[in-house]
Amino acid sequence: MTEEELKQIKPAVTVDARGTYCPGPLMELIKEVRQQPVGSVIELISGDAGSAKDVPEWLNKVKQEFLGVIPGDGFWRIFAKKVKDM
Amino acid sequence: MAEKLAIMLVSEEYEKSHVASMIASVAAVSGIDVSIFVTGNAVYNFLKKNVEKKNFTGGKLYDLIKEKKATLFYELFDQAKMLGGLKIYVCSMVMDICGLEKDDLIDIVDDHLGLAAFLGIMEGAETITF
Repeated sequence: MTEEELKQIKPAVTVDARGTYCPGPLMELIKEVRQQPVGSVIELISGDAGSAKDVPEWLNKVKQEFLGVIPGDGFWRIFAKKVKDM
Repeated sequence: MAEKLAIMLVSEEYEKSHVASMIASVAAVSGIDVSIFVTGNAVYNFLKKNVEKKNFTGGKLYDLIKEKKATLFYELFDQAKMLGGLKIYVCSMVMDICGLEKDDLIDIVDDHLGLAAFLGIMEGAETITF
């Protein structure tokens, strides 16, 4: 998805994991992916530069959908969609 | 067959337990079965009395981890246990030599095992030693 498309999305939940260190943001995302129903979009805000690369890798590994990332000023907004139960 | 990861934790150096817990937690939440075998001096990092006082053998990184209040290794292991498949075993021989009981160890420890049992767990697993 393009940044413009991502900005239009209304996520089911936004997790602000700024202030936690790797793998904190990923773990915070995982908690939400588990809790939310299938079809939910989850937004993760991370201040850890690694997350923008790490999260898509994890989503791919567990077969959930990575929608895209919007880089901010010192943080990243990462969008994921739960496409199956886990 | 599910992927397996076995981590041997031998050293008491804080950074080794920390990196082990990071790898273990990400693996565990990625559908990999993770088993940790705590042996050697690493057992001191799993004693209740040391964890309570945060009495670890650290270095520069450990000082920064404390200063920045980053999640500590035992908290990462605990999270991984809640979110994925992770088991922590302590070496029976070390427990014997140090005169330790299960009660002396922090709660995230599942059991104590001998080497033959752990070798069975390691079979077919990717293994990392710290």
